[in-house]
Parts: sequence; C-alpha cells; structure tokens
Amino acid sequence: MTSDLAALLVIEQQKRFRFQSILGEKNQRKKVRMIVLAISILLLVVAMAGYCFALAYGLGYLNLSKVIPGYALTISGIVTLFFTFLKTNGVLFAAKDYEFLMALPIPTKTIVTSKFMSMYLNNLLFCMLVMIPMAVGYSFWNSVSGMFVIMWLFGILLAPLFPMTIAAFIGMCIISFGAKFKRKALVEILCSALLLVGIFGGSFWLQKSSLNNQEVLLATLSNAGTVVSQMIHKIYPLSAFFDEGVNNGKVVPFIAFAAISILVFVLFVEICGRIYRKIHTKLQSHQTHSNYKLGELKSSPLLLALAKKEAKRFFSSSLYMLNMGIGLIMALLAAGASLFIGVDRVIDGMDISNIDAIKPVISVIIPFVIAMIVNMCNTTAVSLSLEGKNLWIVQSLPISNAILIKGKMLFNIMLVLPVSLICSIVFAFALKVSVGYVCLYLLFSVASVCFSTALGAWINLHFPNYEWENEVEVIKQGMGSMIGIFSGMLLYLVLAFAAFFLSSKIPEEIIILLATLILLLMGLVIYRRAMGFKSLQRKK
Amino acid sequence: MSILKITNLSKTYKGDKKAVNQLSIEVEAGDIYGFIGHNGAGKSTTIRAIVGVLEFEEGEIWIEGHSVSKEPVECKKITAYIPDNPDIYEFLTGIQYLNFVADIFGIDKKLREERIKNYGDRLEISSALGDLISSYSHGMKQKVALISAFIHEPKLLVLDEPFVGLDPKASMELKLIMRQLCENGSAIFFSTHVLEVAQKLCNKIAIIKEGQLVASGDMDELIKDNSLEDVFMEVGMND
Repeated sequence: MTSDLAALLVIEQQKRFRFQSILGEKNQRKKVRMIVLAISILLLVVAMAGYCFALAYGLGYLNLSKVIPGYALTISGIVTLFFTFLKTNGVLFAAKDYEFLMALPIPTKTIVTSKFMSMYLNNLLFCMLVMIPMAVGYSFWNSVSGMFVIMWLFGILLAPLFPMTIAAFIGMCIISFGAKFKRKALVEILCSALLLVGIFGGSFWLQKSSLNNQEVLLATLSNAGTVVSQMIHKIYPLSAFFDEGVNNGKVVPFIAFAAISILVFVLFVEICGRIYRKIHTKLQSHQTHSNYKLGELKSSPLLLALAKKEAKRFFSSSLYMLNMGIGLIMALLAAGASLFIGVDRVIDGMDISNIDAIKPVISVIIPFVIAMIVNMCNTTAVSLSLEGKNLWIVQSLPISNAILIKGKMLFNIMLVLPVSLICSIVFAFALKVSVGYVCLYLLFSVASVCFSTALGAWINLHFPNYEWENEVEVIKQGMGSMIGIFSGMLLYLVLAFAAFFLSSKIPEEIIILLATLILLLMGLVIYRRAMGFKSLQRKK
Repeated sequence: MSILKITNLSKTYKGDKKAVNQLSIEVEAGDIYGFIGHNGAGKSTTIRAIVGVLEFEEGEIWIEGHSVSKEPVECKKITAYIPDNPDIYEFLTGIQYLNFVADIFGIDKKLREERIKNYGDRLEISSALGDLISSYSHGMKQKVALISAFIHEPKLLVLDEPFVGLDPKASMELKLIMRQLCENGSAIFFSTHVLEVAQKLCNKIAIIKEGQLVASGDMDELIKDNSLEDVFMEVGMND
C-alpha cells in the first residue's frame, strides 16, 4: 500500500507542477516566462508571510498573544476548507485519470488516499506559510519551550486534515446527490452556492453575535484575550484544543486535537473508499433517451452562436460556474443585504480597518467595490484555454480568431453586466444618491465590465493552456485565471484608493467619470491588441 | 482547376527533424485521394496543415486558389475536417453541436434540417441526437462529426482515419456518401491504414514515408497488377 501510495502521489504532484516540462524547457521565451512566474509567486509568498508575521506581532503588541495559536489554526483551516471544497470535484471526484487508476491492481482506498494527500500537500504549503511566521510573531511576546516547537510543528502537519476532510465530505455529499439528476452541474452549483451563502451568513452572524460594540469595549478594558479566543473557538471549535495545548503546554488537549484530525480523516477515507466506485458509476451514467425527433431548428447569427456555445460550456461545469460565479453571488448578496439591512451594516460586516473614514465617501467608492467583486467573474481569462482538446473545432471553422474571441467576450458581458447593473442600481437606491449618480454608476459598470472582459481575453491569448488533464488546472490554477482575475481586482482597488484620497479635492462625480473614461480607453487599447492576435497557440 | 494544391510543404517540430519535407500533392474535383503511410510518417501533420490547424514554415497550400496561410477563413469556408479522434463538445447534445456548426457556416434553416435528417438517418444516429455527446461512444461521436462535415457540403473534405470506430453499416454508408460528394464535384483527401478500403475507394493515392512523398498518382497506374498492400510494402517500408 505504501509504495503504491508513494508512486501515485509522485505522479499527482508531477501532473500538477509539470516538473519535467519546466526542467527540460529549452525555449528561452518560455524559460523567461517561468522565471517571471516563479519570482511573482516568491514575492507573493514573502508578502503573505510578512503579513502573517505582522498580524501575530500586532496581536502580541495588543497583549493578545495567547490568541495567536488559535487564530493561526483558524485562518489556515478556513482557507483550506474553502479551497478543498472548490477542488473536490475534479481532483478527488470526476478526475480524468479515474478509469486508468481504477483498472490498476491498487485498492480503492489507496487511490482515494493519494488524491486526498495530493490536495493535502498543497494545503500544507499554505498552512506553513501562515503558521510559521505567526509562530515567529508569537515568540516575540512569549518564552518558547521545546514542547511548544514540537506541538506547533505537529500542529502545522495536522492543520489541513480536519477542514479538508469536512470540505471533501460535503463535496462528496453534494456530488452524490447531484449525480441523481440530469442536470448534475446545475444541482451541484445550487447546493454549493447555498452552502457558501450559509457559511458567509453564519460567520457574519457569529461575528456579530460574539462581539457587539459593548462587548468590544468591555473586552479592550478587561479580558480582551478571553473574548477574542472565545470568538475564534466559536468559529473553529478544534482551535480550542490547540490553543490549550500550545499556550499552556498541556499534552492531553493537543492529543485530542491530533486524534480528532486523524480520526475524521481515516473515517472519511474508509467511507469514501467504499462508495468511491458507486459515486463514479452514478456520475458516469448518463440519461439517454435515444428517442429524438428532428423538429424545427433555431438558427443564430455567428456571434450569438459562439456566445451561446460559451454559455452552454459555462453552465455544464459546476467547477467553472462556482469559481467564476462566486463574485456574482457575493455581489448580489451584498446588494440585497444593503437594501434590507442598510449599507452601513454591510460595510461594518466587511471587517475593514478605518471604516469610519470610508463611510462619508462611500458613494464614490461603491462603484469600484462593485466592479472589484463582480469582475472576479472573468470567463474570458480562461475560456480560450478551456477549448482544450476541442481547439481543432474552432481552428478549422471558417471564423477568424477575432470573431472567436468576440464570441467569448460577448458571453462574459452577457453574464456579468446585468449583475453589475443590478448591483449598481440597488446600491444607489440604498445610498439614496441622486439620479446623476445612478447614471454615473451605470456608466462605470459598463466601462468596468468591458475593460475586464477585454483584459481577460488578452491575458488568455498570452497564456493559453490547451494541454490540461482537468479543467481545474485552467479555472483555478492557470496563469490566465490568476492574472486575469487578480490584476483586475488590483486595478479596481487602486482606483478605489485614488477615489478615496481625491474625494476631498475633486467633486465625486468627476472622479467616477474620470475613472470611467480611463477604463474605456484602456479597454479599447487592450481590445484592439486582442483582436490583432494572429495565432491561438502560444508563441514559441 | 485543382481543389487542393500543396507545393513543397515542410514542417519542422522541435529539433531539426522535418515531420514533412518538401511535399507536393494536387487533388482535383471528383478525386477520392488516399493518403497512406506508417505511424509517424507525417500524415496527420500534413492534414492538420491543410485545414489550418497547424502552422507550417515552408511551402504553400492552396484550396480552390486561396492560400491557407494568407486567406485561412476563405479556405475553411469550403473545407470540412474530421480529426483521427473526434473530440467534439461534450457539453452539447448532438443536435446542438450540428446546429452550432450550421450557424457558423450560415446554413439556411430548412437546408440544415434536411441534411441533418438525411445524413442522420443514413448513419443511424438521428434518434440519439437529443442526448449529450458526453454519453456517446467513439463511433457515435464520429458519426456526429461526419454529419457536421457534410452539413455544408464542402468542396474539400479532409478526413484523418475516418473509418475508425464506425460500425460496418456506417462504414458502407460513409463510402457511399464520399462517392456521392465527389460525383457532385467535391474532392476528398483522407488518411487510412486500411489499405483494402483505400484500394477500392480511391482513384488516387499518395504514400508518405518519414515526411517525404515516395509515391503518388492514379491508383491504377500505381498498383498495376499488384495490390496496394504490395506497393505499400515495396515503397513504404523498404529503405
């Protein structure tokens, strides 16, 4: 079992990181691109580690150092839970190599374990990134014993297990439930969206119910550490054992933390190993009627036909819908909440520092915030790569690359723009701004969606990847998706800051109008560049 | 006037070895042109270059007088291509895929319905067209891909191993359709490993070996009293 597991794990990691193609790369352009990517990742790692250290140091400075262990474990846990949940379908289930692996003389449990451990290794890297700098921050304010180091190191190794198991279990339940329906993807996305809404809503409620203003005041005056710890333990109960073990050097609570983490994992592998084949059989059994009678067909103009094809691709994959649609769902939720509970309370719930400084200028910042959240859905950043093995179809059809890209852009605009416009109107209504502002919000919405759409297309043309095994490689881990989504978000953040600082010097309307013009101009330049692409293949 | 004209086509992948080297072929209206060679000889590379899926460094390919490298869209309007592995959109149903292709080629509604019905019935796939392509077998996908190629009645049909995965009835029907298309003035250029089929179906043949054309011309002149297999073994396999 161990040698099989090790062999499968090596293959999984090679597949994920493509070591061989990186090491054996002779093309200079590709090499430079990989080096740039490696440096960017390194910078991101350094920035994250720095942030975690600063966070721990800051907590210590506020005399809250005892909170650090639970806090570190909870941050790692929540992020691990979220990303594992998004990855379960595609890595653990419905993976491309399922049939190949199941035909090998390896126990199903070993296959499940290898898939799970492969995700574990990725999550472990993230947990290390959070927990090691926070331990360093902790050591500035507390004397650190050998027992602390041992417990913390084991804590890092164990940190991903529990949240991963919970996420994978929920994912497994959703997939097995969805497999019963004809429209599996749609059922899966509905369940997942409901769950995410529940998680966000729950954490919002927990935050509010744990710490109201009066309690915060009392906490700062007397026992801040206890109150904050209680809040963290409410969010992630397992962190209470870890806290107790690490802070007070108690072995029993720590063993309880370790035992629960390992036990749920073993239990999951056992259950999943037994029903793994059953789930896949359900997933692979298609509802076929074979009673089709040819009726009247609907014809569509060229661009609309391409956009409709994109829509069908989008709505056929729960992974694609969930990862791209999360921004749209969040934006609609925030807009709905602002209407019913007020913009002020929505902003309060966002956990933003300097919140009081933002409130007076919220009417100028809100369009940027909407653009930042809504444009997290950028299908053009991945839709070209998603052609994958079907690329020959669009390449052999009598359409230019520009038309193909226009079709992809049209779908993204059709998907994102209505949500962006709705959110703008709802927020405008909630903020009780003038009609002029509403028009500006709408104009900015159009400009931001057009800009992000063009940017995504241009980026995907620069970083196409058609040789994927699993669409998760493109949607979640691809260069196109990472750069496409984060560069847009960063730009809107920069614009929001600029608007914030300029609002005291320039009229707010002018700021929004200027930003709209800037986006339209930049979008036009990028659009023209995207339309001029000669080849869909990456330049060698 | 030739429908397909390849002049001195060369294609080099990574490294110095040429996958296709100075290849020249001419296919005329009414031709069923077989393209044979052993695995890795350069058949698929040539085919992918013809249909504009693969870029090439040297030579030129003309389809009805249009340059594939300079006027790709004009060439593709009159060409249909089926690769060796019919990877078609699995998220669509068969009919949605065919309708999508018909939309792209701008086929009139009535005409597309007529053609889908005709070819669907002949290849015995009509009743399954409402199901998702992801539920299809390899042969069913091949049939849908073939109908999508016939739907716009192309001047040039380029097929890579078209008979793989087809049941005997569909294979026979495909041969009939190929002959009918050529009688109506189209030309077919296809690769195959089934030499018996090539000998019976094709009027012209080209044999490629290590990227170079080693024999080409009229089938009858090329094989004379031998079988195509004998000729292939003689020129295709010997050094």
